[in-house]
Amino acid sequence: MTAAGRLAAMGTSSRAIMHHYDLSDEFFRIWLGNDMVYSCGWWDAADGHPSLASAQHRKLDFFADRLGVQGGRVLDIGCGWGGLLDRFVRVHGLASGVGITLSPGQADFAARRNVSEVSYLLQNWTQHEPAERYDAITCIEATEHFASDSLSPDEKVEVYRAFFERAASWLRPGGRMGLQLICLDNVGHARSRPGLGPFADLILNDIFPESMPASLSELVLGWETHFELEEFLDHPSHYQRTFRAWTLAYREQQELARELVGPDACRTYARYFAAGEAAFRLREHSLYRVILTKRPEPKTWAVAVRPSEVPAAADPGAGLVGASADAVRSHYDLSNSFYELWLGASMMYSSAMWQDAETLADLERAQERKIDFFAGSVLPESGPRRVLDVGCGWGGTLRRLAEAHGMAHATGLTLSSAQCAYLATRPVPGAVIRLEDWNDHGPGEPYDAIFSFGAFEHFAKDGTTGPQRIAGYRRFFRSCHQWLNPGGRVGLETIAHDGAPDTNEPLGRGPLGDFVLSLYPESLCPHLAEIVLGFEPYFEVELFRSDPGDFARTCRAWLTALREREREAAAVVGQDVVRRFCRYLAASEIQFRTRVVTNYRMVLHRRPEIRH
Amino acid sequence: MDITAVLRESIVRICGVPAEEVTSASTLDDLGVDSLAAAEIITDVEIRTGVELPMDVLRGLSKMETVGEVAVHLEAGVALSPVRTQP
Repeated sequence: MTAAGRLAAMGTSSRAIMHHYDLSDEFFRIWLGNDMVYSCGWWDAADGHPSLASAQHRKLDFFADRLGVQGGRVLDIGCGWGGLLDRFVRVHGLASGVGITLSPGQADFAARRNVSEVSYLLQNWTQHEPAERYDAITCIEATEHFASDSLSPDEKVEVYRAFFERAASWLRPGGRMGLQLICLDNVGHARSRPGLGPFADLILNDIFPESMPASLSELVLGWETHFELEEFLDHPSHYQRTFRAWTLAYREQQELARELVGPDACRTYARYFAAGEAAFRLREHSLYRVILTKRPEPKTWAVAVRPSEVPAAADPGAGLVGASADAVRSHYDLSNSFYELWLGASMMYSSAMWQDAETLADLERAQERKIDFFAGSVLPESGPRRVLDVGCGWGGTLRRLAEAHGMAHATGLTLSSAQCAYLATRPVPGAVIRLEDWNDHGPGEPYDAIFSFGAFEHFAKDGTTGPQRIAGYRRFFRSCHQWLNPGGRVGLETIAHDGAPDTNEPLGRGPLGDFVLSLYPESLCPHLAEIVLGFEPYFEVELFRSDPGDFARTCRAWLTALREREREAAAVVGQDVVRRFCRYLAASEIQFRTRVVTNYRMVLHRRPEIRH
Repeated sequence: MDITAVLRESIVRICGVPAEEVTSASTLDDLGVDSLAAAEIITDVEIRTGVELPMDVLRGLSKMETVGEVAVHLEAGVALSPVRTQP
């Protein structure tokens, strides 16, 4: 068997695809509407009660906008009845498009739309050989068919890695990918097999045979080599509303439906709509919308992580993999008055969140905005609001939460004696500061929210491998799960390797990376898949952003301030240290701007139970 | 503003090379500018001139480029890119 044939055999077969999608175009039209768009719509609370058609248009318009399809060439993988490319041409000025599907009925229907700019092919993604490169690729709820229900998570990842490698080869440099993904969320792979409950049986036996959603981590392992993350949206409620809209449309024409497909199929579909709505409402599944950009060069890995190598969620092991307290202190205990010279009054030593028109003089406002942004997504709307800040620095985050967000009780953890001393003379109301490693933390009462900005970089040591780092991250997130009340949230920000290679050689990331590391001994930033594999058993992801530009501007603001106070700074720490910090801030800015590294921001929601 | 003059002055100051050695034809490699020093030089010139290099130029910058070529990138940066980190 050829490599392509082997990969095709790992996905849903043509026969199984036809079982669903070739049932009857007219039957699908009853509930999908005339546009025949068979995927989750985009529902906005501000819209009031939009129609299904306008929710579908909005979704397609979102992808057209983010992919910049005007005048371009797009491949749509799993093109359905052609609704996406039709709208991209008619409304968004797409110059040429290719749609591929395994359903002969869909290919015929799409071709009959008579859009001359678009051609449709009856083929598997594994067979596709483009005549010329694409500017963008869309893949809207097709990944569920790439890996069949008989595959293990390792095999699924093998398929997704092959898929994203092929997709990257079809794109021009800088080309983008728009994904809409149904993913396993609170019910993991092991519990989503056929025979494990009525929902799995209905979906996998009657509706989508031989199909299986991915876990988010499996897809990230698939794409991270070839793509950087631009945008990530978590929209399970949009699917809840879409399924409800399909139910309502179907009920209006039940008689016709019965004539078209018979009473048994009608009963099966009515149950499917209800089950789908419930699955997203309960977050057994989630719906993610993701925009990726092709990397200039593929990222290389010392160890290509496989799900089976990752330590178990219930017991990620006990060995410490983080930077030592002494290593952390060597940076943060340098001198409080030195940091005061360039961090500004807030003493916040992590990325600000800038608005376009702001200048460097707005650093304080931009730092407050970051805290306000996280507070709005992480803190419960009412109640006592007990907060933990892991890596609390000089207390800037807690101070803002106390002053502007009604935080009543807080614990701040830091390994830096200098930061502790600073906070002893400038206490934050309601906050207790502990000189303590998070590994040793045991709260008396559970927290409602946990914040951690710029500490995660110290949770894994230089020279570790991916699976070792993931073990450390899992231990951290499992601790957060234990420390939080049900429904509690984590707001986390970390610098991460983006284009930078994975290497387990100490000091091996080239002069820039090595230099920055020399100021942060032992510490090592994570890669995206490691973060996702870290939190996935314990938390739902509600928000995930990649904001390298914000950190680049923050570095520039710090560098400018430090240069203005260079003489004073040299009097405190010496000329040599000032020089090293200037170089580190300049180097960091460039690393963010070239996306060697990025700044991830995430809001995570505690799962009711740890997912296995 | 003479961006080439600012660039040359930065190289002299940051890398400690004699001014007369920094000609338009010298490559960054000739002058001993590694990627770390290049980062410092670029941000220094950007801060002083209000230029911002576009990301693809920044990513593609090689140590085999000459001072003259880098100056051309910087001059193009003025026209190409809004200066987001400056007033």
